[in-house]
Amino acid sequence: MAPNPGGESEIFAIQRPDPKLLRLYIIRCILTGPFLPILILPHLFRYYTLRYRFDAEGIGVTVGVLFRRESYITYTRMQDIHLSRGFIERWLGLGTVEVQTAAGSSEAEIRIEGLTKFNEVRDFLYTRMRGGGTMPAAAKPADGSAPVLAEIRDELRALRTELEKRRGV
Amino acid sequence: MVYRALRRAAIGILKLPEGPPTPPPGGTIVRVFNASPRFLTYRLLPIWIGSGALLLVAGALAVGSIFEAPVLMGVAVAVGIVGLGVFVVGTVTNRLEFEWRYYILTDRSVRIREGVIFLKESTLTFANVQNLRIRKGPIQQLFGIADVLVDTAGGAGGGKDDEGNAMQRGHRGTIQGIENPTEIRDLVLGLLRKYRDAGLGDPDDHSHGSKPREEDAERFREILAEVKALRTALTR
Repeated sequence: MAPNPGGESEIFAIQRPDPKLLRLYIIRCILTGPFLPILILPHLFRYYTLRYRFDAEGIGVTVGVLFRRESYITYTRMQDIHLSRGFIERWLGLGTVEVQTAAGSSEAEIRIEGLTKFNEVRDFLYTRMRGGGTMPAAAKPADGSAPVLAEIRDELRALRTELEKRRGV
Repeated sequence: MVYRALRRAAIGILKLPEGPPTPPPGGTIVRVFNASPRFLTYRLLPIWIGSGALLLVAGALAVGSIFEAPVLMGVAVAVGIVGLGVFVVGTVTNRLEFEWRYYILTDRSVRIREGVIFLKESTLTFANVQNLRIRKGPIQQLFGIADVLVDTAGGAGGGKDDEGNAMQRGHRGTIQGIENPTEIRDLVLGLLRKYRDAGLGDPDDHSHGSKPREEDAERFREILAEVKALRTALTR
C-alpha cells in the first residue's frame, strides 16, 4: 500500500526530533515570561532525551531523565491521528503528530513532536492504521464452502426422502 | 479594503498554508466541504456583542469624564482600545478560521481541519467509528446550523466537558456548523456500512480470515462424505 518505499525508509530512520524543536521550546519558554527559569530545564531535558522508534509493528516514544516514560503503540490499535501545527511551529516548519488509541484519556497517547516530515509521517501512519490502508475485506470471501454446503443439503434431503419411503413401506 | 489588508497581513504572520488540506492517501474522495457562512455569523456574534459592550462602556466613561473626574478619560480610552482590539482581532481570526476550516470525506475516513493560531487536522477512519450523532444548540437552531459528531472509542477524559469543547480533543471529530446535518450524517452512515466491523471488535478478524475458512470447507467436505456414505448404507 506504500506509494513510495523510499519515503518509508526515511520514516523508519526518524529517531530524534528535528533540532528546531529546541528552538521552539526556548521560544515557548521565553513567551511565558517570568516562568522561563522554571520551565526551561524540563524542556531541555525533554528535548535531549526524546527518542522515537518506528518499527514494523508500531511506534515507540521514550522520554525523560528522572522519570522515564516509554510509550509504544501498535499501528493497528491507532484510532485517531491528529496533526497540529501551532503558529510558531509553522514559522519553524515543524509539526506535531498525535496518535490516540481507544484508551480512556482524552490526551494523546503518543505525541511525535518536532517533525519536519509531518505530512509523510501522518500518511505513513494512516496507511497502517485500521481501516486506513486497506478496504474492508469482502463480507464473505468465496472459499468453495458454499457448493459443498449445498451438496450436503441435497444429500440430507435425499436421505430423509429415502427414510420416509421406507417408513411408508 | 481595510479587511483585505488585515487579512493578507494575518495570513503572512500566521503562515497559513494554501488551499485545502491534503486528503488522506488511498481511497477516493467522496466530498470536500466547508462550514456554512451562517456558522461564521454564529461565531462572530459574541465577539460583536462583547466589543460593542466594551465600546459602550468606553463611551459612557468618556461622557462621565466631562462632568466628573477628567481622569476617567484615560480609562475610557483604554477600554475603547481594548474593545476595538477585540473587535478587529476577533473578526479577522474568526473569518480566517472559517475560511481555513475544511471537511474532507473519503470512502474510508474523514479529515477535519480547524483552528487558526493552532491549526489542527484530525483524521478518523470509519473502521474505528463507534458513534455518530447530530448536535444542535438553541442558538445554532436559530441560525439553522448543527454539528455532526463522529466519535471513536475511548473516554473524553475527566476535565473537559462533554458538549462544549470546540477543538478536536479526545476521540471525536466534530463537523461543525453545517446546514445539512442529516444529509452529511446519512452520507457518513452509508460509508460506514461498508465496514461491517466498524468500531471495537476484533480488529484482526479479516487479516487472517481466509485460513480457518479453508479448514471449514475441508470439514464440510468430510461431513458430506459422511452423509453420502450414510445414505448409500441405507439404500442398500
